[in-house]
Amino acid sequence: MSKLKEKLESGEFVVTVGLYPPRGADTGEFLAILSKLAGKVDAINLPDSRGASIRLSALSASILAKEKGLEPVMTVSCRDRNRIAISADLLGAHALGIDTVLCVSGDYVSLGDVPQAKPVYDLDSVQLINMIRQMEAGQDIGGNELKGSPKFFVGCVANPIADPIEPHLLKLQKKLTAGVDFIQTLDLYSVEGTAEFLNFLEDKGVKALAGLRLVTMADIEQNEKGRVVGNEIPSEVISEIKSASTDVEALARAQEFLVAMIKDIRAENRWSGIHLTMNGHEELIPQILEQAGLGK
Amino acid sequence: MIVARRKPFSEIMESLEGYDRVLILGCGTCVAVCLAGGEKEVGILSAQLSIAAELRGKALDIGEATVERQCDREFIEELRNRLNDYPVILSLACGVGIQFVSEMYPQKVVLPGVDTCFIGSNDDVGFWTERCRMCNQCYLAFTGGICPVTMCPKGLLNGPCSGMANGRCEVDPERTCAWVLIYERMKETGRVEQLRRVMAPSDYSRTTTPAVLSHKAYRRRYSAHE
Repeated sequence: MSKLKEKLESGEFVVTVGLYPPRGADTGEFLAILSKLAGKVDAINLPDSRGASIRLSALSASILAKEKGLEPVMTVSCRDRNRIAISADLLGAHALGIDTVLCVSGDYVSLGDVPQAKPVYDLDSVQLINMIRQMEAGQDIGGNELKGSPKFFVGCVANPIADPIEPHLLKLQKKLTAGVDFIQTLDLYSVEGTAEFLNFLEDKGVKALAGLRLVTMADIEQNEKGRVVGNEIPSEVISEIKSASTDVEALARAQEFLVAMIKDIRAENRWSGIHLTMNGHEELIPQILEQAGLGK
Repeated sequence: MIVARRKPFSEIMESLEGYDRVLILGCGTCVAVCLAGGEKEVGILSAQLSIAAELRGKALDIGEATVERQCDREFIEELRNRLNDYPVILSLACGVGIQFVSEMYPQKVVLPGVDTCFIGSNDDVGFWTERCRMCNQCYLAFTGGICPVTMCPKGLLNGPCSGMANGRCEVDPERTCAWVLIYERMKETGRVEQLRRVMAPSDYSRTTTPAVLSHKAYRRRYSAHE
């Protein structure tokens, strides 16, 4: 059974972190980070070639994370595989003890390193969640009986400050009706503007984790080039970090901002946890959580 | 209509390497409207090829012809005598016309002079946009007359992806997200509630290629094809 599910259902404020699997066969650094994170976070997200750039598969990365004692959240993207391939991977994941998945449409291929690749999108994220629930009920998506059905704790992505929010919430409602268990949001840089989203979620019984990011100079560079996947970093955050005289100071300011955001999110009392993106600074997690009053 | 773009001249030259007689065959319908392969474009390409051949000191006998439609047997049939002089046909029709000519004259070398791009609308002079992916299961009744299969790069059927930012598409920020357009159109026409309907995954068995369609009145005649 999903440990993330247990923790979320117990009402514990959870901390998950996203970690990119390696771009290549060398898993040394990845495994070293996993070792450091064991026991420090409640779950770790393993993206499915996020940003449409080729990485070690989410399923393999999830197994490696599990072997290091972490609770993996395996991302399942609709971009690269059809319903047959995704179903096969889900059965495989279940057989290997991976039982928490995050269902996403997937960043479009032209945003990645291999824009020549064929985009698949046989399913969308709503259809994917429905397919998983159908498998749990003992049938594959073709209506064929499964010998033994898997069980998953199913998450999806949402953007609390989507603009316009209405079509986004219409889709989110479909995911909720399909039976999604938890939400991890896109990165937020302020708690402002999230009220409509949080009001919408009230009484829906779904657990929402706020996406938060340790902003790096590389993020700022991408933001300034207009190449942002997700929400734009507000200009005041950018100028605060950019005005630092050294890289060390810039990182310290980003850390300070992140700690303040975690405190703000907790103070709202409407979130079930946070989902962190640390941009290669995962070693800072224990310190950041300590500073935010979330020491494990 | 079908929208095509003429192939780069260098690619056409390369494909004609080794041949000294070629008939450039235009098509008077879609590719003429999109300025890629009508009678005028046949003339332009013919002049370009003549000049290029002369500059390279090569002899190239170029013929020109344009038919009403290369995707109709009767129009291609009328070319039969004309084709006798040319072992090579450079067709400026869409992929359908090129294949049809090749099928009707199997002893000829038939080469493409255009890349067939999409089916779309003629929005303005010299400007065309894609509107339909020919998915064989039209969703337009549920999406305010805006096709999510075509207008959303991911072809999402149940709403926008999280990459939508400020109403713009993740793939091309110059474009409004298709699902924002759909939402606005449904709102304008009082049909937002209909957007709550969960669309099932598409049935791709309907789009197995090559597709065949016979009108119901002619089923008996063409039953051998189905």
